[in-house]
Amino acid sequence: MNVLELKDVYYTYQTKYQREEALKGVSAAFEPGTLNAIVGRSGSGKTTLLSLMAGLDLPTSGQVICEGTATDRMRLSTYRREKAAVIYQSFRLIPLLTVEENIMYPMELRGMKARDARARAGELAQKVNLSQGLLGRFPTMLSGGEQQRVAIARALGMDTKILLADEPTGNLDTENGWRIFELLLELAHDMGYCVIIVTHDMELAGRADRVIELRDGRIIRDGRAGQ
Amino acid sequence: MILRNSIRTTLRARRRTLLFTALIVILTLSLTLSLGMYVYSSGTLALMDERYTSMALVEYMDENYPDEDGADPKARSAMDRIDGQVLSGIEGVLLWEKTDETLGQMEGYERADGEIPYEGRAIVEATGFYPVNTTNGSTIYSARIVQTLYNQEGRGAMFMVDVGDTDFVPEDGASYLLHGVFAESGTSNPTLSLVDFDTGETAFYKVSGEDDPAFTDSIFTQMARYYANANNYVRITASDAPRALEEFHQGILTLAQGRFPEAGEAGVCVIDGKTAGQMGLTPGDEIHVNLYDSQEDDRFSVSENSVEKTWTVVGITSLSNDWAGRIWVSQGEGGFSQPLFGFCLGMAVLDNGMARQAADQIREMMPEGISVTLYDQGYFSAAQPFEAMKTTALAVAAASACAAFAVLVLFASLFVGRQRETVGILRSLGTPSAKIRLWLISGASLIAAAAAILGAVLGRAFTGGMIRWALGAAQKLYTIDHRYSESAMGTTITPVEMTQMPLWPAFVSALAVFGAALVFCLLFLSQALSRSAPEKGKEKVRIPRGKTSVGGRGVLRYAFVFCRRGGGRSVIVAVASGVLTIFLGILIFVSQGWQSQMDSLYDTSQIFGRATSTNGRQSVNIVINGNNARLLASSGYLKDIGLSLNWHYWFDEDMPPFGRGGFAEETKRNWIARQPTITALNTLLAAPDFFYDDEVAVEWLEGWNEDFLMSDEYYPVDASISYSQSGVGVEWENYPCVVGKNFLDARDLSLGDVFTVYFQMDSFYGARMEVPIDLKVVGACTENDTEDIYVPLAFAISPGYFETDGNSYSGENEVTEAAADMESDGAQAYWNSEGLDYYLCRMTSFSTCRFTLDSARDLDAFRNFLADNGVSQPGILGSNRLTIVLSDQSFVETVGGLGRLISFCGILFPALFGAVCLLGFVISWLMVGSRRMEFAVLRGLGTSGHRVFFIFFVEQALLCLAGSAIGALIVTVTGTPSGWIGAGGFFLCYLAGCALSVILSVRVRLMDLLSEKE
Repeated sequence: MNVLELKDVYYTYQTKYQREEALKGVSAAFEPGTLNAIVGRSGSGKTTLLSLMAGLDLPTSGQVICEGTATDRMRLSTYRREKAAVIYQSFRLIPLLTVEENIMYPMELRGMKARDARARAGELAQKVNLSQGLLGRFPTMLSGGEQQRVAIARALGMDTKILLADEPTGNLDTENGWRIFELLLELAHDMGYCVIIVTHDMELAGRADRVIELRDGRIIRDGRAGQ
Repeated sequence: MILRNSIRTTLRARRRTLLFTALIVILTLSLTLSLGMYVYSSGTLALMDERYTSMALVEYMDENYPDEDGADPKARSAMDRIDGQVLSGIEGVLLWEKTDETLGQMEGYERADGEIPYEGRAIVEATGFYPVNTTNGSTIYSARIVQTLYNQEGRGAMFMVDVGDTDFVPEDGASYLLHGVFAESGTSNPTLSLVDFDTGETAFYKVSGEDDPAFTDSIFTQMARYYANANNYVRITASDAPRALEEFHQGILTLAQGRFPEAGEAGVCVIDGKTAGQMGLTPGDEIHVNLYDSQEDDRFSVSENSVEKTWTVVGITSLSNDWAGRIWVSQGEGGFSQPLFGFCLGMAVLDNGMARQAADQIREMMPEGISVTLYDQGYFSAAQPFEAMKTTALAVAAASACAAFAVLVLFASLFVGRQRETVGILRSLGTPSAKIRLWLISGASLIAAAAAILGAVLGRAFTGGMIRWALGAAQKLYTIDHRYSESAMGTTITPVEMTQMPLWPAFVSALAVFGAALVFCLLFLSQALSRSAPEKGKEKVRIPRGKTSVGGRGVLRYAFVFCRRGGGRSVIVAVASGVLTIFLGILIFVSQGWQSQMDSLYDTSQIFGRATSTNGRQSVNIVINGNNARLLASSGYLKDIGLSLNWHYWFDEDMPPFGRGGFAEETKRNWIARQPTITALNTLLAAPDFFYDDEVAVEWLEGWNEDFLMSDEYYPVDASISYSQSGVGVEWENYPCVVGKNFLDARDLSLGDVFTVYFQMDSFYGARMEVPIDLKVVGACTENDTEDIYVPLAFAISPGYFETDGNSYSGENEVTEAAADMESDGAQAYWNSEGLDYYLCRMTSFSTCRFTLDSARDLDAFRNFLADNGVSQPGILGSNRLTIVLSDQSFVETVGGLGRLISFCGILFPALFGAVCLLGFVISWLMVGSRRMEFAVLRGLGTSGHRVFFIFFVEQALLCLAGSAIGALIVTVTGTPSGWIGAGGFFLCYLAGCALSVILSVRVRLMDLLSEKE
């Protein structure tokens, strides 16, 4: 059963001086327990596609359907809070919150008590191989790999079925990049998340369950890695 | 190519270029306008300084003031006590001159106008006496003049001789030297009333023949010379600042021809137009003057020591009969040895800008009884708006210069300093350094030059209009009601203004702005050309202590967390809030302080006023109509009014026998006029002797105090006299009185004693009567040495009458009827009625009047009241000749100053609150605006917009609240409770700014979250 489905999605960037169609009729469906990689050249529309799946905006036309409900039928903030968690390339951690508080934030946002959220944050940190000693530190005091793990832990804390990651290894060295990828793969395969990543790294993409390649806003290839 | 591309790239950075062009234009415009205003106001003030002359007239105030020939020992003593060196040392005193005047006789001059002291006096040889009439025992002869030793022009050869009280009985055919006074007798021939000489010699002398020694050396020849001197004198004034002399300063005389002598210039003079016309003098002519050798008690003395002067006329004044026989010379010809006559002790020429302060200092230094009158020809009122404009222009110019400095630094930094990327590209393309420099400088210079020129041109175009507007605003702000004020004595001259505005302020402004821009660009050039990236400070690693979180839930919790961990950002907001709160609190406190000072000033100030002569200087021995006194007293604006009127009195035993006849009567009147006075008054401070004092020291008879002076219990003496004359009958009372201690000692009297004096008054019937009055001494002034006697005002008129509305009395018919029926039974009722007061009020003239306003708040209303009733101001005659001066200068100036400050606050406060609101917005914008990505992340995590808004809004509010509360506490602890108002004001302003900036920041496009890669 598809957890996320794109139906003939179009998206247009409209500025004062120009109008640019970033997506031109993209359709795809994603199943839980899979790691999907979206690849393509710069300007192919992959980040835009991920943003729409993350509920940061609505498509200009077409639909993004999550568990049977289109995003234009629900409040986007609710969708972002409950349906799709995003891991950003530059981590997007809240600098004034500690690692623990950053992980706790989405849980508390959903109404979880602080004590429970703190306990869960500990578990999630453990899950993403984050040392407990780092929980009390501020994000700026961590390395890039550690910050990305925090971002993943925070995303896991949102308790969604969809994990969206934009160049999750883009700001990391090769070793850390692979570790993060392995973690995402594990989350998909072992925990049943539908993980969708945008990446330039074809080697990583090659290890994904499915690769979607975009060019000029259209899917030109959709299949298993290596196909 | 380099230039073209530099300019192109600069111009294509459209927003930045437009912004900085606009800023530079505005600042150059502001600089040009403010410099222009400064030049205009400075120039106008300089012109005014040349045109206006401020001077302080120093005079001694005595009861004989302003007799300019009076020989007053107290005035002379006061003059001796003035230390000219100290006065000259006062800041603002340009020149101090003691009165330097003398009299002399000018060759060929016979006085026809002005004061002639011995007018009518004649010494003649006469013969052919024939008795024509005998009146009241005095024989009149017709006679023929043989020769005239002294006489004024125009007397005929035949005349009548009134023997008067002399023993003159002419022998037939004999010739006599006669001394007397010519008077018009209504016949074709004038009458010479014989008068013995003051020295006791008889008025006649039988001459033995043409060789009689009396024709060469006798009292007759001496007095003939004396009269000729006295009656034909010219008055010579020496001054190095003739324009500051009252007659020229106040426009009584003007220089019609020629010039004034230069300071210290010898051998030249200015002569009055009347005398010059009479003697046919023109500039360049010489005059010969024999200076009198005046003695302390004899002004017209001429001795062998008299000095003869020859002066060339260099100037001639306008015509004036009152100023006939006047000569002005410089101090180079001055230093006359004549003792002081009159009461003008000297004058100080003052710096216009400091005239008031200097006059105040002179006043403080002057001994008691000396009045200092400042005449500034209206300089203060006219100059104040220009002074304000000048100060404001200077402040605006300084602010503009500072703002220009900041903008130009930023401009140079942005347009040159931060062009490292461009520099890198240009370098990578192999552009030589010189060309890179040209690239960076040319575009920025072009913008700066164009903007500066445009600003200067606009500034030049608007300067005139700006000056008109600013001057209008300043004049409005500095408008002070000078009606009836002591601060506006004397004439006012028409202000002058600069007519041509120079070009240089615009030129200098443009050049300065462009020059500064160029300098800053060159300074930033090295930054742009430096190859190494600017060093970044080491990032501080901050490890949270203890718990990593705070309590609470939701918005408040995160707001608290952000506050606590905001570090420098949080501190900046709190500190800025605190500082701005303190600033606002102090401003509010200062403003409230001004307002409370103003209230206090109104509550505690006492405004005094007095009736004066029309020039505003003489306040005693003037004539104040009784109805005018009532007009003031019943105005409802006065707390108290002091009035006095006086008659000369004498002890019966002191009066010499005067005989009978018209001349005897005149002699007696003259004698009475020299006697001390009995003064009816309602406060001792209204007495001429004490008029300029603050208090009077009196030793009272037990059970008595000054209140009796204003008591209604005593009967008007006129009524008592009329009673006794009308036969109605009156019980005489002893009037209580206050005298001087010296008087008691001299008369061997003590407190409680009764004595009788006589005085002369005009009765109800209009007859002049000599009236005895019994007085009981109830008080003795310990500090006055005159023989004046002070009795209650009721001696003349009921004081209570002044408190009633005199208009309520029905009128004169009742008086007439009652007067006609004086002997009837109704007379008693009449005399007790209001009618008597009404009548007396019409008949009475007071010689002094001083008063205190009930409240300083009534000042304007009282001025209007006076104006509505046509009351005159010094130098400005109204329909009512009563002239009033209010001692309101320091009050009006203080209130005016405070009023201006409060007005400034009225303008400044909204602007300051606006600025603080803007500052709050800017601070919060800077603090919040840099956290756009935080908002986006929170939004990206599904936080609603409202929640994000409140998290940041509450965070800022908490920080601001903390800072403001601390600021308010500091302000309050230091004794300014208004700190909380300031805190509240700032808090609201900050919140408004904060809300706006958060709303704007929260509206971030979430799509940027993914598209903005770091």
